[in-house]
Amino acid sequence: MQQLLNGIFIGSIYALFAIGFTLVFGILDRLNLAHPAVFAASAFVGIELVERGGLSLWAALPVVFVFGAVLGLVIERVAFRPLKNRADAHFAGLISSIALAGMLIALLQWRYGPDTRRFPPGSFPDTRFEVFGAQVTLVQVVILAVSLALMVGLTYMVTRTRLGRGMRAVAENPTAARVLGVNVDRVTAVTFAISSALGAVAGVLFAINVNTAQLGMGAAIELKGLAVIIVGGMGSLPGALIGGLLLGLAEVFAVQHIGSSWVNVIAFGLLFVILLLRPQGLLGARKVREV
Amino acid sequence: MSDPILTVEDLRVTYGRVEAVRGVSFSAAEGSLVALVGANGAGKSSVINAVSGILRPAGGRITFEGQDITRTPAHKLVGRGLVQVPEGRQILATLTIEENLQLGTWHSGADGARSVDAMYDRFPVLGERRALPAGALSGGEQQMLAIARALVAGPKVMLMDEPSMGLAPKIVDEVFRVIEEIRASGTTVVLVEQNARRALRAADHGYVLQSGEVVHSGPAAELLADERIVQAYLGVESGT
Amino acid sequence: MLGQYATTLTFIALGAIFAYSFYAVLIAGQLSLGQAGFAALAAFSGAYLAPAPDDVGDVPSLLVAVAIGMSVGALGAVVLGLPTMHLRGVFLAIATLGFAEAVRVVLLNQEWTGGAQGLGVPRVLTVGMAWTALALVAYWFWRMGRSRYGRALEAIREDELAARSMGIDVGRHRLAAFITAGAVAGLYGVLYAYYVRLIAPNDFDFVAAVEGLVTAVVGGSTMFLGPLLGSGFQTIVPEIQRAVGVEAGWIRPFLASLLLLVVILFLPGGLASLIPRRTRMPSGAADDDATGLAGRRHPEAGEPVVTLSGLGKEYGGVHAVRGVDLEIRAGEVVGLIGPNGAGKTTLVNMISGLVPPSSGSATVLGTTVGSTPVHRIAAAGVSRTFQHSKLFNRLSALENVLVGAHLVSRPTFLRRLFWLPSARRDEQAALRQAARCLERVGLSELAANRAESLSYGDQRRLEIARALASDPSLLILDEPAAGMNHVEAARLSELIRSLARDGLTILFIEHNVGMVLQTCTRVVVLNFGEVIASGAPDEVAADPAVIEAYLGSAEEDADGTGARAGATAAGTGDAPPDAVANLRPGAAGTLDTPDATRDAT
Repeated sequence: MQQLLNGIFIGSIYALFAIGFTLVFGILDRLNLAHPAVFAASAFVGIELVERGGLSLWAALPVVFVFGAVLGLVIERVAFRPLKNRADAHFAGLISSIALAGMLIALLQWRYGPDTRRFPPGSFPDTRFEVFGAQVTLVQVVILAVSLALMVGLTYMVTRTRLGRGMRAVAENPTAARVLGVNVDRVTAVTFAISSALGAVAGVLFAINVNTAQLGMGAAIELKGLAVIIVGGMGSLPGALIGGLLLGLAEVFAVQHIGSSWVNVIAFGLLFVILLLRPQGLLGARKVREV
Repeated sequence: MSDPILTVEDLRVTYGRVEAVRGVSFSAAEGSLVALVGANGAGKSSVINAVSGILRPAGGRITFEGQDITRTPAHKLVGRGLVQVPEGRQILATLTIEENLQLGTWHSGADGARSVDAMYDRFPVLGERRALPAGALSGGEQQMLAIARALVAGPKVMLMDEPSMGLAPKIVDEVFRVIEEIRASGTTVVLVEQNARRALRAADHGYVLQSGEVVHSGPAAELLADERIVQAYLGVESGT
Repeated sequence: MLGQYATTLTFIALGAIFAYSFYAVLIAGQLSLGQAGFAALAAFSGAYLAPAPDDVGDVPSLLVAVAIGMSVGALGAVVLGLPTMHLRGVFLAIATLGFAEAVRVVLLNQEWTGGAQGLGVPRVLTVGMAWTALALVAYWFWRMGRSRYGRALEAIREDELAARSMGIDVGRHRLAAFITAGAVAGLYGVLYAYYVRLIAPNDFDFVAAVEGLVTAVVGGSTMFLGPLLGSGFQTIVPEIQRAVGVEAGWIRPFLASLLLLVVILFLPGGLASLIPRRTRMPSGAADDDATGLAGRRHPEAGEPVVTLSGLGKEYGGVHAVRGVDLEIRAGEVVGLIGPNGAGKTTLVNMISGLVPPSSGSATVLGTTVGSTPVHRIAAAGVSRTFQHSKLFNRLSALENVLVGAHLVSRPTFLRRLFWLPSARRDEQAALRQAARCLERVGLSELAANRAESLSYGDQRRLEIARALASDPSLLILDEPAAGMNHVEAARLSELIRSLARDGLTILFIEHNVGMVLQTCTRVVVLNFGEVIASGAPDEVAADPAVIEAYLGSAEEDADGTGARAGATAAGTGDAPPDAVANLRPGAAGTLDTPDATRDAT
């Protein structure tokens, strides 16, 4: 039981992070490899907000959300929009976002130094609950609640609102969206903002969960995020959610039964099986391309 | 007669070094139906896409309601009432019919819901299936959806690109009936068609395009009566 | 002197070799991140299995390790490539990345690799050896560039579908490129192991893979010097920063990333794009000697070339083509006409094997269409152009046509490695063939220009030249005259007739009906996916059903124009009929007459 809960907690963070990846992929067909840098940056910023700004853990979350959104706009503007009409945009977008990620991490190093950072002692309430015989801290409950709330909100936004319709229209057929008067550039920029905001919140929640922030934390979760979006299906939001939870659970059980050093093999074994058997992922739809 | 609502002067469109439109001029009086006809590759769609702001013209001037819109992007023009029904319909197959129509109201805000309902009255087949993905509609129904989607945006000028393409004759009749109704309601229509007779029969004024240039123009009835136009259009002259 | 820079120089060479392993697949348009995995497998197995330098001497030990490493790398590529070669773009990238990660974790958990502590390896590699290895790798890719194989890879990168239609077996070529990448990555892994003294699985992680990719892309993935330039750039930038006294830990990575961003944003082809690319022209007289080209047997005049019976294609309930029966015999010039959306392109796509039929059967040049891959149908003698030009944009006009000659030219790469005169002869023969085809369509002057820089009409002609280069038995042209003015169209018509006089069977779709009537021996008219007329041009032109299909029915003319005048008055003046009252309700928030809303706004 304890394992199941732990898997769900970590899995919900993976899902939140992966949703940011998959959202941008759905719209642009490109991977934004600066996403993990946003994840890391927001963890550091979150710690600073609590440490120096004197904010409570939970008050820091909305600030980080906005911080992530701004970073997303910058990423779209600098690394993706200039490449829009290039023949090699596919490779170029990967490289430009890697470059931007490098710059971001370098700036983090400048501001926060190379060492691991933690929240100041006493930031965490020590309320605990007992659920079906398993120990759960208030922090964990809040992590789960925040991730779920954000994912539900995002799903509502995408399926029910004008902006969501615009995003899906751009994803399916940018030309048709343009004809209908949708400002494709703006919808794309907003998508980046939302995606990065979610990645940022995921970063803080992750830092809260393990009480550490490291420069390399983005790179560590990057691979998992990629695995999650392939398993769930590129561009699929529920797919990312299920993929994230699946990975979280698989990892926890792998640690328990096989040994912690094999965790990544589990993730990528899953990835491989999916790619071979169902390349569009569990919930992904295959795009029809015209000759 | 008042000033035309839409004027295109010496329009040029290029793709890289390829010149698709070489100095096309035409105008549309308010409430009229203007037809641009010509064979494939004559540059008709490029003209329409340049007017609607999808393509950036390489030269020339486009005026809408007296204002220069040559370089205005599509998303601003739709809000101002210049709306396109694109070639090949371009409906969003994975979105529901209702969502497709709602996208048409991107710029009209709260009034959108009412105009969507009005479309269901007008095209009952869409109303019955509003929750289905648009990809489930037949070709003719998709064309109706594309037209309805443009209508909810409240167009003053509607640009229609090949609305009869790939449709059976009976459906084509239906499409043209709708087009006639639209213009009869006071909306100006610029119609691009390969089905030249059909288009000219519906139009007030016609322009025949060939290789990116206007080769004939005049009142639609006159063009229709002129056998040479039909021949030019069929390409019999151009081959010799 | 050299000693001072030996470390830097060695790392430039190592970085370049690793970058070549990415270049090897990028050149075919594939994005793989698995090279770090191949390198890791090779490094550990090479270092573990090869005899110690103390026993057999430095160089033999290294050579054995290299042989083991390259084999392991290539083998790894086969194992990973077979199941993943059908993946494209980021899917392939992530799958291969997953493989590399799995390799890393497995190696971390093995006893013999030393786990996270790593495996000690004697330092054997010198700067000279590193550069020799780099020179060999660069030489390989240099000689590959202008071989039939190298051109085929570039064609796949530029347009996979067109490459298939030229008879290139895309799957096999992609796998070959992937195996090359594996071997080169293996080479890198072993050399790296024999230089750094201690290798750990984490030396070959995700960051290492990304670094290799970045180096290859920054250097430029369309020119064989690219990886070398990229590695030089990536290695020297930090060195220069150190030399000018930039010390703070964060400034160096920041500037390096910034430079990377600048290069990728403002130098689309990478650093190598700064080097002008020359196109080799055929030398010697363009004699009609066809030695060096594989011969082909063409069907005798009158033999059936295409036989379609009950052919149909359905897309999600829509019948694009239905029940088409058609036979085309050798020597015919068949024009396929019909309104937009009539199913013409779908029909030729089925004949050329791009689209499998949903009903009926089709035999083309003795090959049954349906399950046969496109490149096999091309090999049977079918060659085509596309409605929207599918040229290899970044290749020159001449190179485009050379790719077209893929089926009739001989493989030259391996012989080019050894400068065999026969390879040169075969290349010259292919060049002559290409030059003849360019001349035939009147593009000889523009042979060295990039395809994307040509005018529209020239691009269409280039597509025809490319299709001709394979010496086809059946030539399919999809709207070759679209967008041409009538002078160009007339010239094109003359070209098609002259090709027909040479015995070529031609099927072409065209909207310029006048041109079709003049050019063809037979005209087939399609409407709503069905053949509505077929016969001699004169008969078809006079057929009322054809005229109606094209122009709409003629009967209602008088009525139609009459009604038109009435509608004009109604539309501009009075209130519209009830039926349209709901058309523009949103504007004023009422369901009243739209004209009132027009006045109000």
